Amino acid sequence: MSAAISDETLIQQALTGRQAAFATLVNRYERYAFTLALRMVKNREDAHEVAQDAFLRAFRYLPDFRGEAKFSTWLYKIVYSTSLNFLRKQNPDIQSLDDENRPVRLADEGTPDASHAMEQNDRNAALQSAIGHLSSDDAAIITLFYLYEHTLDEICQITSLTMTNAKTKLCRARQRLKAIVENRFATELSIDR
Amino acid sequence: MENNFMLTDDLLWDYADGFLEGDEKLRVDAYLRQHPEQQARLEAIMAEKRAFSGLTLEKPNAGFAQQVIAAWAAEQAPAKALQPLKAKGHDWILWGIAAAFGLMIAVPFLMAPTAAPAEFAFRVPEEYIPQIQVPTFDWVGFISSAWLRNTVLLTMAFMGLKILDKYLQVRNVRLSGH
Repeated sequence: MSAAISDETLIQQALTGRQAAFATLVNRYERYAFTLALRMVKNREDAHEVAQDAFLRAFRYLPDFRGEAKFSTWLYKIVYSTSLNFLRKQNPDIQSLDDENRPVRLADEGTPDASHAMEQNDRNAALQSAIGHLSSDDAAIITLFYLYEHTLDEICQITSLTMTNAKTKLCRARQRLKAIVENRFATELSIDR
Repeated sequence: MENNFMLTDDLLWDYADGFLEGDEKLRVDAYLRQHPEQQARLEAIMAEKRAFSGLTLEKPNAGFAQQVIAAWAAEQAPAKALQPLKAKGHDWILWGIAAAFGLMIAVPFLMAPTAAPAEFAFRVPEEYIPQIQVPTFDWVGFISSAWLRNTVLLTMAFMGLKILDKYLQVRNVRLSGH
């Protein structure tokens, strides 16, 4: 069964040119790569493009993968940098994706995602939507830490941040998310605060 | 526990996320033991963490994996088309050309002794020689002919171009791999 095959074995097979190994790797990580890309670029169509591009880049550089980190960490690093490149191409003036000086968007923007979440009264969708209101960097770090359950050390490898910066960013991202939740999704999300 | 100790939300989050170590962690542990009512705050944070980690992953459109594999195959196609030239199994073409070229040069020299009987044959009385017309070939003339010279030059030029072509193709395959 393909699920039992380790990433390392699949990579070895892929390096010998076995298409099935590439396909298994894509099937295994497509949702993770796509989710991270979507959290960063905020648009499904663009996220498809970014995720596909990231997979192709990963396959191109697969011979350079030394196995020092987990394959998933290495792949997410590529997804992260591909998303950043995409955002920079979209907005060449962008200097940093850091949200440090940007206030949380609290105005009632009535995005389709938010409306959808409210209509369905779906806690999960509302939280997803709240994360969607974070900056790309904040959304990425929250996703990597809480959803993908990566360690701070792995997040540093993915984002090239220092440990202190990653910790600070995670803390700020959490505070911003809390502010969004309290201001926009308090009804949908009955998390005790 | 010092009186000025404040268990802020951020500190509690760091505690829940496992970022605290040593004294800092012990201090929070002790504070929570002494103030059981604060446990509710920690439980709320843990519930929030569970909510984050319980989020479902987004699903790409159907056929996404196939699209990626198709794009990868398309990207590999030009490189694969050039691969046979790199493969050892097809080097016989070059070796064949080289062998033919070598033979063209070597054969006239090997045949020269038999083609120049006047210089090497020992004299046999005329009456013992059967009156058979042995076909002869003017190898000396052949070797020094302009036709052979041009053929050799053309072959060398062809070989040179072939080797250059192969080198460029191999280089392109390497470059397109990155």
